Amino acid sequence: VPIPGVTDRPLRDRYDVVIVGGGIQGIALGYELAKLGVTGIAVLDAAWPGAGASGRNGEMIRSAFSSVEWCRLFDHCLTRWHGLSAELDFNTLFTPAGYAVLAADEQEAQSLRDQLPRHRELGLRSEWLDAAGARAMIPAAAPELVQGALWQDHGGFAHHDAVLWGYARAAARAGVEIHADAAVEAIAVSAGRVEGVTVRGRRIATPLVVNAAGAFAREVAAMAGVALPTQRLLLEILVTESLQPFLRPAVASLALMGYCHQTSRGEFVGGTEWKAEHPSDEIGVTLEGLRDMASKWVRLFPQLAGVRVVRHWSGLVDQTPDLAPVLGPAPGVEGFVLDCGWIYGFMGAPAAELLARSIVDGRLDPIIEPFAVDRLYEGRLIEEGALAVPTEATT
Amino acid sequence: VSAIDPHGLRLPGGTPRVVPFTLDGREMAGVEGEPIAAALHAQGVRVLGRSFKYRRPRGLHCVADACPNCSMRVNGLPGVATCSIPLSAGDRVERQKGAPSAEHDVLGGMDRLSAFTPVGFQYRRFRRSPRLFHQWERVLARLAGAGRLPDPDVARAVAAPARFEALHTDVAVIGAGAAGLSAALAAARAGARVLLLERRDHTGGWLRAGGMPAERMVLADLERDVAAEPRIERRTESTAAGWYAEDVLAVTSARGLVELRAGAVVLATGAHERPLAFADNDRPGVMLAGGVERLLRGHGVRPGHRVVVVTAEDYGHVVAADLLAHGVTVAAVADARGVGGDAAAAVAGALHDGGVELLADARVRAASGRATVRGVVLERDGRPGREIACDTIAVANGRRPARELLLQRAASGGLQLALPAGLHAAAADPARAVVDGWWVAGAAGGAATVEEAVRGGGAAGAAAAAR
Repeated sequence: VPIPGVTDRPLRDRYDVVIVGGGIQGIALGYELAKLGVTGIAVLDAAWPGAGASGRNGEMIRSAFSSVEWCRLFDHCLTRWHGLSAELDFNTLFTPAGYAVLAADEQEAQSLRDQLPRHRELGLRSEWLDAAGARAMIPAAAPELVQGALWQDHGGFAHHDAVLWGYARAAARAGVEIHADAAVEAIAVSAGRVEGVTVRGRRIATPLVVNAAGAFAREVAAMAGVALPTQRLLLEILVTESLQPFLRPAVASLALMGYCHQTSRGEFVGGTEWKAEHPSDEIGVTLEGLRDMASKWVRLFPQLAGVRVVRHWSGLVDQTPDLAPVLGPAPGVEGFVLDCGWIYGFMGAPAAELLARSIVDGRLDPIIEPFAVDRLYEGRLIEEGALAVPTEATT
Repeated sequence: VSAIDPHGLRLPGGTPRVVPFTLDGREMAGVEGEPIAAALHAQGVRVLGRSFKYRRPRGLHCVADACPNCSMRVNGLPGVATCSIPLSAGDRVERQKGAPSAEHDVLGGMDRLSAFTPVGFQYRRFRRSPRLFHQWERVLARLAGAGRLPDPDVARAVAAPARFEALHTDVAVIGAGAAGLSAALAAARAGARVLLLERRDHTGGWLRAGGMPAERMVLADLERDVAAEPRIERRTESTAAGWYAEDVLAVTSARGLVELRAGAVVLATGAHERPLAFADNDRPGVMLAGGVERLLRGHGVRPGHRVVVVTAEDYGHVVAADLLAHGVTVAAVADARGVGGDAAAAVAGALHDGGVELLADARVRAASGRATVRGVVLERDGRPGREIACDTIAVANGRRPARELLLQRAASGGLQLALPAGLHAAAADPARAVVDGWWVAGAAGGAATVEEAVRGGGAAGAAAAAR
C-alpha cells in the first residue's frame, strides 16, 4: 500500500537536514522546518512511516496535566490540533468529543481537582465534573468507578494513520523527502560535529541530524556518542468489533491505569498499563496483557462483556525516567538534535513547530526549554502526576 | 419437519427435533442443533444483515465462520457468527442493522450515493471545520456502528464466572480434519500426550460434508482410531484463537479460556476458500462452493432453487453434480478454464443428463439483482454479455492455506509480516519444523489431496512427538 508522501527517488549524497525516524514526530518536524524555509530535508525510516508507535497508539489528545511544563507543551498542541486539518488540507479525523480523566475515589478526585487552579493560571480550559455530571457524560460506565472527572470539552482523539498521512502529504508538497526502508546504520561525528549518516552502507553528508527514532532513539543517540538514560517498554491495546455509539469522549481512568475511546467507526479502542515496567525489544502481544485489558474494560463498561475483540496490538516506546520527552540539542555534539523519549508523541505532534523554530533560530523556545536532555543527567526530573501510566510513585 | 423445511432434505441420524425461535420478533421454527443461519436459509431468509458503510444487503456466504456476513445478534449478544452456532429452542435472533429492518432498509440506497462517499472521502470532507466534521461523524457513527452493546443481563452472565484453565501438553494439534487426526494419532503412538483442538462441533474438517466415498472411509478409520487412543484428548468447539509472546496458545470455548503451553504444535488448520472478484459479488445468493456443500450435505438445506456454479477448478463440477443429486436445478457451470481435469470429466455425464450447460473459458462480469441474486452476467470481449437467471451463484476458486496462527508465531518481534523461510521446506517435507517447535500439515501446509494430508499429518505428528 503506498503511503502518501513517501518518495521512490534514490537517496541523495547530501542533505541539509536528516531526520532519523519517519514517525509522526519526524515527519511533522520535517514539515515544520520546510514551512520555515529550510530546504534539503530528508526523513529516513528503517521500515515505513508509521510502522512504529505512531501507528500503534491510543490516539487520544488532551492538555490538562498537573505540571506547568506538560500543561504548556500540550496546550500549545491542543490549540493547534483544532486547526490542523485545515492547515494540512487533509482531514486528520480529529474528533473534539472531549476528554475525561476519571476519579474512582476521593483521593483521586482530590488530586485531579488540585490541578484546576494551575490550569486557570495558565489559561488552560478545563473543568471539574462531579460524580453526577461525569456519569451523565459517560452513561455506560460503572458508577462506582466514576466519582468525578477532570474534563476538557475541546480534547478528544484523532485517527493516527490520517494524521501521519496528512503531515506526510504536506511535508512532501513542501519539498521534504520521506524515505522508507532506509535504516540509519551509523552517524559520523568528527571533532564534535555531525558530518553525515550511513544508510544501507552508503555515506550521506549532512551537518544536522535529528533523532526522532521513537523506540530506537537510544541506539541512534549512541551512534553519535550520546547516552540516553531511557528504557524501551512495550504497550498494548485492544480493539473490539464495531458497536453502536455508547461512548462519546476520550476517557482515562487513574484507577485502571487505562485509556480508551470509541471511534466513529464504532470500534472500542482501549489500552491499559498492567505492569510498571515491561522492557521489551520486540513487538509482540501477550495473553496477560489481553486479560488485563479485557477484565478492566469490562469493569468500567460492564456491557462490554461478550463483545468480540477483533484486534490487539503492541507498540514500543523509549521512556525517560520522568516520562517526559527529550527536546533540543544534544550537548557535546554540534548538529545533533533530540526529538525523542516521547510516550505522548502522537498528541504532541504539533509541538514539532516549536522545535523547528528553535532549530532555525538557534535558541530554544521557552515552552520546550524545560524538556532539554540536561535535566535527565542532572536529576532535575519534571514532576508530572496526572498520567494514566504507572510511575515509580504508583508502583 | 416438512412444514418448516420446504426443501424436504433429510440427514442421516436421529429424528430432527423442530424447535421455535424468533427472527426480529417474528415466530420461526428450525431444526434443533443446525446452525441458526442454516435454519434461516431453509425458511427463505436471504438477507441476514447490512454492510458497514454502504448498508448493502448481506447473506450467507462461507458457512465456515470465516467471513462477517452472517453476524447477528443472538439472545442479546451482538456479533454472533450464526453459520456456526447451533439453534436452540427459544433463541432470539435479530438482524443488527437496517431501519425498519435489514430486508427493507430505508438507507439501503446509501451505496447508490457512493459517488459522494468514495473510498477515502473522509480525509477530504470537513477538513476546514472540526466542529462540523464532529457533527457529521456522529451521524455517520449511528449509520456505521454494527451491533448494540450486549443486554445488561447477558453481559453479566458472560462476565460472572472467571472461567480459566491452564493446561500443558506434549503436543497440541490444531484442527481435527484428516491431517490433524493423522498427526494426533502418530504423536500419541510415539508416546506423546496429545491435545487435539477443533473449533467446530465435529471432527473431520471439510470431509464431513464433502469428498469422495473412499476419502470419507479414510476419515472414519482415523476418527475411530483417535477415539480409541487414550493419550489423545479431543476438544471440539475449542478455538485456538491466538498465539502470544509468553509462548502460549489462547484456546477459547463456551467453557472459558484455556492458557495452553505445548511442547510442540502441529498446525492442521486447513484452508480458506477464495472468493472471486466480479461486480456485486457480495449480493446475498453469492456463496462459496464449500459453503453450498456444507449447507446441502451437512445440514440438509438447499442453497436455492436454481444455481449457477462459477468455477476455476474441478471442485465446482463436483458440487454441481451434488446439487443435481439433491434435486437442485443447476442452470450452468461457468468454468474459467478451457478444459477441466479428471474429476470434472467424471461428473460430465451426470451434468449433461441433468441439463446443465457447460461453459468453457467463461468469465463472470457481474451478479444481477438488488436485494438478492437474480442472475449472473457473463463477460464477452470485455463487455457485459449473456445473463443466466439464477437465485444462487456458487463460487469455486481454489483455496488459501489457513496460516494465521503460524504468522502470529513466526512474525512475532518483527514489524514485517512475512511467511517464515522454513515454510517452503516444511511444505515439501512435513517432518520438518517450520519454526522452532511448530509443524504444519494438510491443506495449511499446501497438501492438495486427502492422501497427502494424512501422510503429511503422520510425519508431522511423529516429528513433533520426538521433540
